[in-house]
Amino acid sequence: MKPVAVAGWGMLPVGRHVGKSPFDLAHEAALQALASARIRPSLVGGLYATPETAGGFPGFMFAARLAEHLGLKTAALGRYEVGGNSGAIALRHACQDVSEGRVDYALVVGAEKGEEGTLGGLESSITLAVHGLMSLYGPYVALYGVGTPLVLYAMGVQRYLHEHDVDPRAIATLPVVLRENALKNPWSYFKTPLTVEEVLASRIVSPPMHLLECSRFYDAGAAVVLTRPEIAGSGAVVFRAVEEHHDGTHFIPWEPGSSICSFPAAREASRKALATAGWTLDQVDFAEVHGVFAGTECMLYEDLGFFPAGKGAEAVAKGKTRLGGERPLNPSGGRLGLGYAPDPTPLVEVVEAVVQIRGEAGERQVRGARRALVHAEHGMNNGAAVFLLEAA
Amino acid sequence: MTPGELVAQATREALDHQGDAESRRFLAALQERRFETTSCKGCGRAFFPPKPLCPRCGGGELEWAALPREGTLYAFTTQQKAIRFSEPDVLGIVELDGGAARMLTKIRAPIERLRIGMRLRLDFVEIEGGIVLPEFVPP
Repeated sequence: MKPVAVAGWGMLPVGRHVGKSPFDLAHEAALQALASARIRPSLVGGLYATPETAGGFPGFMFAARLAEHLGLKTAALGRYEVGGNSGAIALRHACQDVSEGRVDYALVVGAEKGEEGTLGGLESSITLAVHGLMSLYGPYVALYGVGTPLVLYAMGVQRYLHEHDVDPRAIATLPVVLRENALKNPWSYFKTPLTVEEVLASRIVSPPMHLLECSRFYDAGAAVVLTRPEIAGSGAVVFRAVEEHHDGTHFIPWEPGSSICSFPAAREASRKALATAGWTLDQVDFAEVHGVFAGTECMLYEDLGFFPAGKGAEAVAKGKTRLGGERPLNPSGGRLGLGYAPDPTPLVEVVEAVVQIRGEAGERQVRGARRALVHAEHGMNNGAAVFLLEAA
Repeated sequence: MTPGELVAQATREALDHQGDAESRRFLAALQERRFETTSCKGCGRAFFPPKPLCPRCGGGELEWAALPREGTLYAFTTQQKAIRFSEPDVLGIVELDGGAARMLTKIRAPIERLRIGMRLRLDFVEIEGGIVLPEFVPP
């Protein structure tokens, strides 16, 4: 794939956009991105959207209706759904189309209304909830009434503590570090600092996870416009690699003995992306990581290659991943710090990467931020996407 | 309909829509307290969940075989919010003896009693709609 440039971006503050639908959030983010790219809708050659809700009422034709609403006539159109990876997959297809010359300007949009808990508003409808959960998890998990992936991730954190003798206090440091970053981010929902004591004092939701170690669901919307680097001009941020890996399992790796606290998909996507770009991980200045639970995020830091196996939480506790640290991770505040909506997350992360590389991140600027790694995941990290970006 | 009846009906429909031939057979066997999965004639090993192709060798020559009824607890937690059972349920991953299969299951024991590595044995639990599921208990 030839390098693909970001021509513009749009980002809504994460929070509660009362009175607005996912459709409203999507088209607001899209309009911002078009304005940022300084192009009229008529120039958009492809629209790549994520579902209006992760696991909610299925809906139909979201991308088609959004195209109509924005007045787009395109050579490419689609709604991409792979759980939390949806925005990443949409973005990968858009990059492919731009790189091949099928599309001059691609518009990638993700927006979602978050709601606390499992399938949010579906809880009010038992029938839809049962169907939605069966669809999400499959019979071998759903029949046990599993209503949130939190339960499965909690077991992963239990194994992480068990296999690597990890200090739970170290994991509890991560929400604190991320909140510190988020306080410097005007897009974050959260405005008050956190302490480790508060995290550990928050109630246990599914042992060993504390409430404040779990991302909270809020509304989010983000969009990017992609084009060829020669059209975008100098100063544009380009993708040097856009790679995916899906390890063929879904939520639970069924092979006995296989780890639930280390993720082959993240390892492989990271390896492939670095190989494609010809980079070493040391050349990456910062990363945006799709971690939803604190313990799991520490594991992802390891799988992406930033720290050795079992040492991610310790590195966080030692301050290595803070803004001024040797390895800044999630300078935006991450999912825990910003507030979380699954499907748009990859796009939210890409926008952060672009803003950082352009030196426009204000108080949360990573100094010397030239090269970024962006990671996204779809289920219990059974599938991952890793993007590498830098200034052209 | 009561919420329980709604859940039962929706569960049956959802199994039809989202399940597959193998899940139907697995659940039908459980009705008769048979605990079975597909086993690959090529590899000579069973695997779970049952599928039409062996996940290890990709082979399609399969037969159904009994799963071991004992195993070791790999991980566990409680679930606060659920559409069925009472909260908090204890859920866990159990690795069945013989090394061929692990499953996500409900564990009928207070969480304080549980330890990674402890032995558990198979029992059964019936949920709404007459569906029978595996449940594991300390010996």
